[in-house]
Amino acid sequence: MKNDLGTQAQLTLEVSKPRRRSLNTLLQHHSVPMLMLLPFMLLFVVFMVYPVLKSLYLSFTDYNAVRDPTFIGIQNYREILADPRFYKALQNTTIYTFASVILTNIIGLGLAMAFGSQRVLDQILRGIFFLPAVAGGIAIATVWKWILSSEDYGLLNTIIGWFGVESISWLGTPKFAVPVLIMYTVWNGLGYSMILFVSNLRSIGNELYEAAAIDGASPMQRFVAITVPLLRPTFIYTTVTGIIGAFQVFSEPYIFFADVHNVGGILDSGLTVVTYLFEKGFYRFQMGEASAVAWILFAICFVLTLINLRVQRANESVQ
Amino acid sequence: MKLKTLTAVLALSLSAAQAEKLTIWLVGDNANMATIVQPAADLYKAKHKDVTFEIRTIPWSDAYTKYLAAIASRTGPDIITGGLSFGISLGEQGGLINLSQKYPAFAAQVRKVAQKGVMNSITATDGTLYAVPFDLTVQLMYYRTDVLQQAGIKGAPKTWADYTKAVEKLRASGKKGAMIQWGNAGWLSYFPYLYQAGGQLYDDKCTKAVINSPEGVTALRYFADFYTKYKSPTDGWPDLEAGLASGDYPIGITGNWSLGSLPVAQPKIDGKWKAAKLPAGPTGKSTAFIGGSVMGVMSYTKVPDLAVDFMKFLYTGPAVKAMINSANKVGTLWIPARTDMASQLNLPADRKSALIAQLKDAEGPANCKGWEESGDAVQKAIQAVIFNGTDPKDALDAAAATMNRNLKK
Repeated sequence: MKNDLGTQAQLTLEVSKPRRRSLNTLLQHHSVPMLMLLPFMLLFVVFMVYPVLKSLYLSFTDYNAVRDPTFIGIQNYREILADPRFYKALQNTTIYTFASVILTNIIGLGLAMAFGSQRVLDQILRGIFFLPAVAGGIAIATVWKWILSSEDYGLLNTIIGWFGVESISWLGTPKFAVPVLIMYTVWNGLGYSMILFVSNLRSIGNELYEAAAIDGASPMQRFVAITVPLLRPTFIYTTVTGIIGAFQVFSEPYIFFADVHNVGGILDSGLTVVTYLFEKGFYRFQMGEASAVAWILFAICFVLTLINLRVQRANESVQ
Repeated sequence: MKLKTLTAVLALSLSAAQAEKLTIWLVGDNANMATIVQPAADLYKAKHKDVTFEIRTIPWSDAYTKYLAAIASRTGPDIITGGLSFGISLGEQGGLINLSQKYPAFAAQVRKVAQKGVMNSITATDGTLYAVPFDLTVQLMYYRTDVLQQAGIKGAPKTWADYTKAVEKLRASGKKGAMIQWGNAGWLSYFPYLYQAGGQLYDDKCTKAVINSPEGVTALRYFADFYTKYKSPTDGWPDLEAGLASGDYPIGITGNWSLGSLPVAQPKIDGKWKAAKLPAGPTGKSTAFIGGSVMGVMSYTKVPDLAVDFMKFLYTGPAVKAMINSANKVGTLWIPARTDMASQLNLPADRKSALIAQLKDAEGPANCKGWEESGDAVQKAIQAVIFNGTDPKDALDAAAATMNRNLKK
């Protein structure tokens, strides 16, 4: 027994020794990279983890940024979920998200297929289509505000005026608010999705198309049976990032529709979830409610991403 | 020698200890605000050599957030300027010194000379004053004299009836009609019509909303016609100056800023446009909306007496004159809170008299509890009438219900 126990103890010692050694080795070998990572980790904790957790706490408080926050449980969530303006913002954002993501994918893929070759003209055209993605942001949205002006100096109205069409108040008519946002976002984002599709299309071997052509598959059949399934990684990426990005849209609706008293435009026709959040936080100074809106938005994005990934996985297993 | 050096060092350190610094944050969308106030600060400094100034302009979009951050951290400016609602809002949160309580003489002096409509807006319902008016912005009517004449309209429309008749004549002559810029299709542009018709947002004691009174309904019917019948542009901020310049919109309403910017932005119509007070409503009043900014002292300041003394100085004739002249130099029209000093403004006589007349008949936003939260409901009611054809009485009843709920919160 003694011997056995002694053997067992020895074994334990022998097994644990390399572990300790590996930890030491790990520290010895990786101390420099760890030290180099430290500034990032510190910044990440201070400027990302802490604010996120703090906003979660604030979402359960009554807080106006001056007085100390007071814990009020789920009251902020209750008030937001009972506010018709929140549902208007959610409705606008949902329509905007699905329309812009679908159109960006379809048009981006179409452009990738039309201008995906290495010809000089195609390369130039790809550059032109990609330009809005590079130059996007507040400056471009401001230029679009001028393009969409209802007056004769508005570029779009000038152009349609050449064809005898009367000026349209693009930014001053409620029914055009969400379509205008969709149009801008698609214009802005299709170059980016086009580039992703071009790179994915290049990775599909020609032999697959040749074999299908020999088997008598028509161009449409080849597209449906080969191109679309093999583009799935890009579709997943553009859809997931597109949905998250679209639900977080802020600067465009703010520039197009906000004025000094209202962020949503006429009858809140351009109100989105984040502009609603911004209004709560920085027009009304209800920081607790604004934090609650942020967490509701997080939950929506999280659930939509999960659904998206599940659907894609289900499709894969069927195929 | 050593003794001399020691004495000099001691004297220097003593004077440094006595030196006082005033940090001032001024709200504005360009750097001009700091430039406008600097000459007044220089005048003050000439009499108070030990005072130094740090004057900074804060963009409108960031101002309230920055002020909240300053209050929360108890560091930052001693004096701030901000929107009319900032005084009560920051004051009730403990961010500004209660001027009517701590400096009653100053508050009383300001009440005597400042524009009455603005004073009503910035005084809390219990009479507390946390901030005093700093400058004013008021609505005016602008019109093209030549285009109106061509359309057979003699001079500026003086009444509601004259105004709509003018718009009809202009549209009949091929022009687009009238334009509203400031607060277009919202509560702010409806506001003057409400007052001109004899209505108000709340009763005098802020006990209930009265926007849905018969006067309010009359005003909304008249106001909505501009959009439904006369097709005024509904963009958030239509370009009135370009409309005047092209002649497409030979008449329109916006803030006094165009008195300063039109001559610079549209020199080709110089001499062809005029400004006038708004057309009078059924009551005979031409009430316009008046805005502007207020100035208050942060509650954490270490130099409250100095801050109030400087604010008092800004109300003196030489300081007001210095700021008006400084604004002129940078091509801006700066209207002092003291309307009796408006005659000092560097404007052509006819434009100045229109401005002074309008300043005498102007009201600011309500000071009643919950107005900030209720503005959306009023905006929605107005837009429901214009865009969805909702009955004005029903729409205003709905707005009044929200306003009453917010009054009780």
